[in-house]
Amino acid sequence: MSLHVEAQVPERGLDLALDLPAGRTLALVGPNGAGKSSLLALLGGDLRPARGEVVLGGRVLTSVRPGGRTVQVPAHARRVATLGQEAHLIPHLTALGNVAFPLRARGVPRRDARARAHELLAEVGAADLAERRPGRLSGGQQQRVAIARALAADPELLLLDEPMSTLDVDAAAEIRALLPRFLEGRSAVVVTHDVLDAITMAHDVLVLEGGEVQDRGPTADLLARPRTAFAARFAGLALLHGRAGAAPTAGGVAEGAGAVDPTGVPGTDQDAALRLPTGELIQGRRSGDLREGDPALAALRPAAVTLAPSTGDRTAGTVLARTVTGLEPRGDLVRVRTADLEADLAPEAVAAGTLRPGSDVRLLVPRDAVTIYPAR
Amino acid sequence: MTSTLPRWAWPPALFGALFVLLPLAAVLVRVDPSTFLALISAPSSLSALRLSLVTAACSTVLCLLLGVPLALVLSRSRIPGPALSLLRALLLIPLVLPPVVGGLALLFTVGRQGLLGGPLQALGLQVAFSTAAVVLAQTFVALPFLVLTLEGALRSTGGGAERAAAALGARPTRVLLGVTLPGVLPALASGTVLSFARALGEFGATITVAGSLEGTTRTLPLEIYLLRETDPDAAVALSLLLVLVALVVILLAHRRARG
Repeated sequence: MSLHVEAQVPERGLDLALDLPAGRTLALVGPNGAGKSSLLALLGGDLRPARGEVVLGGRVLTSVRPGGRTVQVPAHARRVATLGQEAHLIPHLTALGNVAFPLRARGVPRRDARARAHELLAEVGAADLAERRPGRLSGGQQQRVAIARALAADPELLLLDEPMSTLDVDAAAEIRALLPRFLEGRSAVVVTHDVLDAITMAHDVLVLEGGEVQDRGPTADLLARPRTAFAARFAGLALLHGRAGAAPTAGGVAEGAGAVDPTGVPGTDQDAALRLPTGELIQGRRSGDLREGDPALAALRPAAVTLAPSTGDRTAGTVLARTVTGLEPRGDLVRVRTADLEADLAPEAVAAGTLRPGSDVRLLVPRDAVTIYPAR
Repeated sequence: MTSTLPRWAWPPALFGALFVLLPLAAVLVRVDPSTFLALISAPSSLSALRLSLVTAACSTVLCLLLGVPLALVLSRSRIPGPALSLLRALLLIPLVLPPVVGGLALLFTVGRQGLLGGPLQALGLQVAFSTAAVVLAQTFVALPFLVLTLEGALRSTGGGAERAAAALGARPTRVLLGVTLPGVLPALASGTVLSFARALGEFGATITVAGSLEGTTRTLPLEIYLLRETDPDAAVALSLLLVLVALVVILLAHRRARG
């Protein structure tokens, strides 16, 4: 079912509008306190906006507007099911009883409800758990049962509020493998902190910050070309702000500070440059229409950045001189932070003790690792 | 397992246990086994026991009918915090009020000159000094026990499962019967037993609002109090009976609460 939301909740600083076409999954990302939970509460009916509406498949679930009749369909009649961090199974019912519960609530006869519940449990790989009570299920098993139960309710909108966040790595992987299949063809909103969830489950990503929609787009698009610091961090990219620079001249050597092109490969129309506020020109690949002087962004993978060698490197790119502001472990790499740029370097590079906060560093940003695109 | 219990806690704890058990033992040794059965099966005794059991049962049912919704409202409603705290405090007054004062308050409510005396009389109802007054007095003092026990349990459990059940399409009544109440069954059972026990032992409020009419309002505690001077042996025998009933009730509650 298609979803339309428009809501203002001043006491939570929420002011947003969004549309979700039927059958699509939207990943909702944003820092803590951005309003993700408030948005879910609005959809589920736990929160009433000061002004706005929630329309699901043509059914008005919430409507609050001056002069109009206030509508707030109660939770049980909204057909919006939530899969949260906690499974919230009914403790005194078996797994089967829990899955049968929404069917029984809809008036399905006991025998039919149990038969359907058995099917659903089998679909989530929990057939052997049917007679167990929630107290005797692991966290991952509880979430499996909760998924089967949510499906039994046959919701028109499914809300996923980080259902993997309290699970251990293996259990989370199992649930993660299950979910895309169940989201197929359903309208769903998935709150997540994990870029992998967005990639595997969501058609679109919506970035919520400070109660407002900061960015929104098809998942691949948004992850490749983030427009906010949060979205860039979510996508695992470093984001540089600036203005579109002059297209590099043939021969590929840009006039920017420290630009190098030892390969001598001629520039193409795929090439672009970004003028940083520092005046430096960083080279990269164009994505979208860029006009010189317009606000633009450059996104790059920190792991592609290396220490600039003194001589003899064959990589085309830009050398930027920076001062280290911080170091932190990042998997098997070391993240080197500077005022505007982040680089993930091999531990050997910093092992000699030459890199520490305050030390100067020359970073080589390969041209192929940088995507340059308009800011709007 | 290592105990962190300080050794000095033992003597006062033992003394505390003795403090409770010794008087009970005193009753036990004072009872003459040869006359016990005869004394407790005297017509006046049996009538008092019957009245006690019947009125306490009625009061317990009333407590459930009124107390369960009260506990639900106190724990689940959206009444703002301060108003709710005040309401809870007021409702628990019978718990700290001397029962005699409770009885007087009831008398001023349903008595001939009381707040509702006029309307009740117009309906041809004479509540004060009737069996109904006994039930009223017992319910008044016993209700807080049920509300307190149940509300505590409701507060500490169930919110998440209830909201989940609602989102899955269950109407409020189904959520209540299918999720909420089954979740607090042990507390409901012990609250019920506690209020039954409190109703069974009621004395002060009863004698004030219902008086002491044999067969109508003279419950077992009242009978014991009256016999205390005229027939101490009978009083002791009936006391033991009440202790035994209380013991059965407590054991039942304990088993339910665990199971």
